[in-house]
Amino acid sequence: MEKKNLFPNNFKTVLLDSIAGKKNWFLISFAILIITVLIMPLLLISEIQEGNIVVGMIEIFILVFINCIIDFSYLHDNRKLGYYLSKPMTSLQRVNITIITNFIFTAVLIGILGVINMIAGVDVHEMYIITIPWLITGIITAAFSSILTGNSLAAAVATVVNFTLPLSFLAILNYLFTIIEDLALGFNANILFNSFVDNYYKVNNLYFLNYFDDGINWTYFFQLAVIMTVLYLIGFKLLKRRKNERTTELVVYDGYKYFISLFLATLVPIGFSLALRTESFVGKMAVFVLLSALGYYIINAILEKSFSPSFKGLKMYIIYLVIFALFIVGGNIATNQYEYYIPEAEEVEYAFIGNSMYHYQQEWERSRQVYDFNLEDIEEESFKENVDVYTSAKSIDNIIDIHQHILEDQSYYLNQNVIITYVMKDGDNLTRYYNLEQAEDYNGDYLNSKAKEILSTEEFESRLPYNNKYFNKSYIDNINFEINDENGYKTHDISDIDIEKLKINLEKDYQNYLQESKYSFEILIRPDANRSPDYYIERRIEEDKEVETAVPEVKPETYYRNYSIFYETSETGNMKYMRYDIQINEDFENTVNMLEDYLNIEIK
Amino acid sequence: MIRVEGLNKWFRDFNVLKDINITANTGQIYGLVGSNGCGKTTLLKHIIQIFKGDSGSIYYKDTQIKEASPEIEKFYYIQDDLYFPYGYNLDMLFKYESKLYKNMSVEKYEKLLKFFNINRKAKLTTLSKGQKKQAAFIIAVSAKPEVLLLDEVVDGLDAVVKRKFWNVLINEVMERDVTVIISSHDLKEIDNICDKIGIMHEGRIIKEEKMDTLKEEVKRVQFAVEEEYKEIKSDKYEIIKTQKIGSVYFGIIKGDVDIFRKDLNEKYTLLIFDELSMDLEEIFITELGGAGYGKEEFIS
Repeated sequence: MEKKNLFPNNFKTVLLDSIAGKKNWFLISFAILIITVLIMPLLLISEIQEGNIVVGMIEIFILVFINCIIDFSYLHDNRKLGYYLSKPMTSLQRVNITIITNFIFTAVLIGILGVINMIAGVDVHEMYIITIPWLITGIITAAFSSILTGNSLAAAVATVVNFTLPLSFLAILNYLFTIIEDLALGFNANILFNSFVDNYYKVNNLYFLNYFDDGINWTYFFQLAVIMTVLYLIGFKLLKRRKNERTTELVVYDGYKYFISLFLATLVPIGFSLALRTESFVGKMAVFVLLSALGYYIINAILEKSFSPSFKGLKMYIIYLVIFALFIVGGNIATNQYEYYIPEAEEVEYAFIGNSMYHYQQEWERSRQVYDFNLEDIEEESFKENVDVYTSAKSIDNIIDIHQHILEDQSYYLNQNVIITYVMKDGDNLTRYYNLEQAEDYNGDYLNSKAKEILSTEEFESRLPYNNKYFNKSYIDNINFEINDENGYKTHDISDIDIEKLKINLEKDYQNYLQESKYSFEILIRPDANRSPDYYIERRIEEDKEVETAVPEVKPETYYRNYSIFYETSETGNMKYMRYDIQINEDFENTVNMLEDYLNIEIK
Repeated sequence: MIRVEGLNKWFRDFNVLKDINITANTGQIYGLVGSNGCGKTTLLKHIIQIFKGDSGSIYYKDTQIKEASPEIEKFYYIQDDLYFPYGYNLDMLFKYESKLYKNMSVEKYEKLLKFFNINRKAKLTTLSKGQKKQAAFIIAVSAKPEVLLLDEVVDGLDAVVKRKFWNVLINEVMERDVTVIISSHDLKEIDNICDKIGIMHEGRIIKEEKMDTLKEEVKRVQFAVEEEYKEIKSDKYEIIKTQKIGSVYFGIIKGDVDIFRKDLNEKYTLLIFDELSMDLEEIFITELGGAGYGKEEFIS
């Protein structure tokens, strides 16, 4: 009858023997931690800081990593393998003993660091919450990586590669989404990537990072147990199928060898694609095939220790290319049905149009992504105040018309991106992203006319700066007018100005400006823009100024002129300090006149 | 009894073991001989379950052996390329292996230490190749295994130590009915020790026979005839090789030598006929020669 035991009959004796074999490592590790984390900081800065504890944890990682690679090195040496596997202890039992020995070794080191931590009296418990699972899963990863490989150096590399595999996969995922972006109008790689990572591929959770803020609960231990079990089962399955005769080869399993070759070969063109941007989809794909083939050949040559290409290797690469081609075709087919889809106005609860996917307001102290907007958001007052979303039927209809127009024609008077989001009544979020391209024959009448209709709605107007609820005497701590011209910045205190009157003047000027502007669509999608050529509210005027140089000479120098009213409040519900800016330009006649009268200066 | 049945092993595209069938009976010393790279070590590593065969089975006393079989505890394998845990001396190794082999005998260990005169406190890595082999052998015998698998174990031993080594081995077989499978290149050494021989060539067992039978099967003869000798063909024997030195012919005959003599007598006037026994090395060369190995001639 076969022994199915995970541990040998004399488990305790063998384990104690294995631990005793690490006596020197225990001593040297103890010395390293005591000297670098306890004695050195006390001698140098008379205290132990958080950083010292973090350094101690990094040292533990390095020590545990080295120990694991050494302890599993018997799998990479024919003599050692022959000796140990000929003994009455199965490979699995030996691997288990080695894993447990390293768990104990790690626990002791963590214990030492914990004691130093207690002496120092610093609180870095979040670090332990994350790093302890990393160490535990890292040991098991080192075990199965050592089983996969036939060489200790390869095992060390494989441990790092396998441990970070879910992260590396993000790069591939992002690249695949860029292909979708190239294939389908309205699809954006960042949106697809972030939505996928946020909703499905929760890599943060996989690495326990979600517990950093949340703290630990039963799910933490459950997740750790599940990950440990999965990793252990991978090792168990691999060990059963390990071909020990291939010891000393870099990789013992052909499957893993081809997987890792193709995986790394995929990262090569992805890395290059970051440096070599191209507009040509065919060119991009050709570069992908060429670089992945080259990368695959080189990686395979290293793993095989031979430059001769193998038929099986070639077959695997062809299969890989077929899968890649199927992904492109499948992606194209899948996105085709959504590419030109526009919802019916009555299905939409609210809509957004803009050129930024992210919305951050200091009042929120968080950023929101448009593809995350949901029905609950619109219930929040601060959301409606801060994000230019539209709920009126008229605005939604106009946005749908603009959307339809963009689907038919993506030309614009400059390169610009536009994002349209619909939050549907059933809670779904439909976000589309378009790159409008500069075209000589662009006629902006349609977009501007539709935009102007939205600009004239109450909900747009309510968000104009003079309608900010904090633009009120009772909230304002101080208010200033700033001129930036050829003489530099000059700030004028206008604390005693009549705010209500200033509001009325700003309203008149804004209404005038919005009606007269030839750039309504640009104002619609960039309402908060404050860096601008002449179509923005903040008008920067370029003029030449005569300047004297060090060598006697006078030459012109370009300078800019712009104006802003800024005010500070210290009460926004939770006593936070806030600053608001209202940009104006020379066309804001009523406001400028009022400021000129108040300050007794000439502004123009 | 160890029985290997239909064992096949592929190292990628190379068929390193081809349908191996061998049987080593209890209390038998089985000599595994063969050309370089023929798969002797690979076969031993399959028996001890370091390697897993692609097909075929290995049995010990009719129980199929697998990696987790308790029967493995009764096996001890000494590999050609020895390894000892880092920093160990012989006493430490004995202590370590005592935790793995429950039959480990202190008494036997002490006796063997004295017999081989090995420094028990010396670091094993500092010992000479021959001393290392002795150290490994001392531990192996002290474990009192039922099956001893020895890979090139006498390689590097001097004549005196070899004698001691065979003494101990024969003693173990006689006292405890240990089954020994020994692979060696030193055919002269195992000639007088093995009960059974398996000759391997290019991954196959080309001959497996009891040593006595093997020596009976192939004979060397020297004869002289009055007339010019021309090779005789018969289905009762096979003339593997003949060579004339002076007026005397030397031949290697596989099969019935008496019939060959009778045939010679009938065809020629037989002047001299002597039957000489062959040693294992000659049989080995003859068998491998039959398989086409070592027949090449160097032309300068």
